[in-house]
Amino acid sequence: MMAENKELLKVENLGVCFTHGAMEAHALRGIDLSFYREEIHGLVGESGSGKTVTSTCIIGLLPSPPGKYTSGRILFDGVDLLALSQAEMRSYRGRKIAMVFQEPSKYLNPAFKIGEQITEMLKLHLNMNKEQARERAKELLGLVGLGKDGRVLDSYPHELSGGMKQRAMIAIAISCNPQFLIADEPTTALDVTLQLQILRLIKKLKDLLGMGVLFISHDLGVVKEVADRVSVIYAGRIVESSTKGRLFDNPLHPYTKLLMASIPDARKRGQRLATIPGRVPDADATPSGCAFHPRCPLADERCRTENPQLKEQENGHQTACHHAGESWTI
Amino acid sequence: MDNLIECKDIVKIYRGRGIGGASRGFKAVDGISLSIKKIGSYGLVGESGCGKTSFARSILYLDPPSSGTILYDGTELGALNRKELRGFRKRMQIVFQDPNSALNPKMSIHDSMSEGLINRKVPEADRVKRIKELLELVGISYSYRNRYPHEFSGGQKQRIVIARALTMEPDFMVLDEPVSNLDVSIQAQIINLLTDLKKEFSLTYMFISHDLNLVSYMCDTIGVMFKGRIVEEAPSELLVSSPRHPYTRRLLASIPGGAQRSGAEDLTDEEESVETLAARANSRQKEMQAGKACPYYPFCPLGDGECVSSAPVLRDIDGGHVVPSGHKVSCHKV
Repeated sequence: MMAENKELLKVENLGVCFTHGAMEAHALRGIDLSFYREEIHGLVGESGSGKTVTSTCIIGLLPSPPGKYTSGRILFDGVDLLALSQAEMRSYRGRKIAMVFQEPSKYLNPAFKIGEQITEMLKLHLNMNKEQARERAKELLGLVGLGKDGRVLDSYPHELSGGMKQRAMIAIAISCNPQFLIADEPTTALDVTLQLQILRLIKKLKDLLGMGVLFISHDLGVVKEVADRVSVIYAGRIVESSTKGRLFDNPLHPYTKLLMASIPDARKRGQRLATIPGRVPDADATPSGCAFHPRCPLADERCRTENPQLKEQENGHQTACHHAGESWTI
Repeated sequence: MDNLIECKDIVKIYRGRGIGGASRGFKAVDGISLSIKKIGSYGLVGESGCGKTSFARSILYLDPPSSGTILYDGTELGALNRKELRGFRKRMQIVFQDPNSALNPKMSIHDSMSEGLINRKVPEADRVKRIKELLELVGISYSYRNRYPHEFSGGQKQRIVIARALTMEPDFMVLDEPVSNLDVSIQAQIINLLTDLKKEFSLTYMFISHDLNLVSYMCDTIGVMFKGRIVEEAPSELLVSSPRHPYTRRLLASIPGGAQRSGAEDLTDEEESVETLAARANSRQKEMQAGKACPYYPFCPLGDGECVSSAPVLRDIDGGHVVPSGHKVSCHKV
């Protein structure tokens, strides 16, 4: 298939463990993810499920100690990023792999003008001189919808609204034409009307620059809006992965099904919402077998002891469940 | 009496102390009139900074309004003295978004829940009995009563906050983004709990949220707020299926995932850069005369001269139906 040729980044059996004294928290327990060019891959999960740890591993910023890799590789264009030295990784980070964070005001330096923060990247990675960098920065601001006249170049972060700041962050991230962009909850701090604008912008830039995108969110609606492919993560493992259409039309894992059923909307008025009993397990106390079994309506003896592997069910739709596709009354 | 709450022309101005003299102050709530039926649930939707919380604090008299009247079950709150007001306070409770800051970290949950009851001089035996009942009702084991907030998860803390609000036996509860801070799989648990409690205690809810999906699920009436005013109000189904105000339409069209796109359409051109839109907003802002223009005019795709010269008022748009639908909108262009 064509898709195989476009594979850009592959996470294989990635395991990460954080140690605090005697406590060991297995944040990732064997993650497999594939990313393709010109495709937005949404990663959905609740807090503590390992979404952000996954992204920090890809961009090479896992704090170590306390974090350490227990298994796996991250292949980018055939190179294992985990085997690179810090110095080698620096030529990837920002240059080929870039990141946009949740709260732009936390990641923009309040003491520098937006223009300076963009040109810094261009000078460092692309060896541009001052004039070239400024010209390019102007173009970039136009690209993210902040006007072509470059007025924003000379603004400080506090002079911009939340939505404009996030656009400026995106301009910095795409400044070096990265091949891979990580967007970690980029719209969670924004109001709904702004959220939609930013989602559209990310889609547009993906097409324009041919980037592969990892889009992290806890919000199924947001992922449905923006992603081409979706993976669901639970307690440090991918439990389901498919194209967006298949995943939303025909979820196979009970966790995915319950998540979708538990979201309120006008059409469910008067009905009781489906709930998932209990809560997300802490990473230092992951249940045996399938980590979801204590909360799962389908769990049986096998689920308590044997951890299901991520398996292809049909047409590339993968799920890790002994009872994949079985139905029950929600 | 059909309505538990009746507000008329509520205005809340926060006076800032600017450098070099008093400023004119910030009008957070700009003339809101609404009523909430007994055992009803009213949803207040709007983006951050539109005045939702200020309005809620006003009607609870936590921050008395600058002007306007509030009738609570037929009694005007503004006319009461402090002691009388205290009697009414007991009947109105509020649950905030962040349970971490709502619970005192240095008090066990039993002590936190007792505080209000001790204030009301409820004898100890009754206190214990009520706390036990309520904790079990919200799904927290009574054996945890001596634990401290940090020993609970976010969802559990929110349950405790809800139980604490109920110790006062209120009939009106303001829920200010009660699930926004919680994990997706926990949100549904709390929403179901709130639905059950409402039935059990015949509560009246005012539900504040930026999440139209949630509000349209929970509430029978929705008011959409923009810059301190209600721009549209209607029964939930009607608001979602046929929104009339351009702002409501924009909000509905912005819900990610497209669950409710049907009745909504985004009138803004997505190809326009934010700069252009901001420039239009800026120039239109200048056209506006203080206090006269429609507050949505700078952002409105339909606005024209009429919108500058006079602010629209919230009016019924039933269009001659025999049974009034209760659909109200504040826009010249509808």
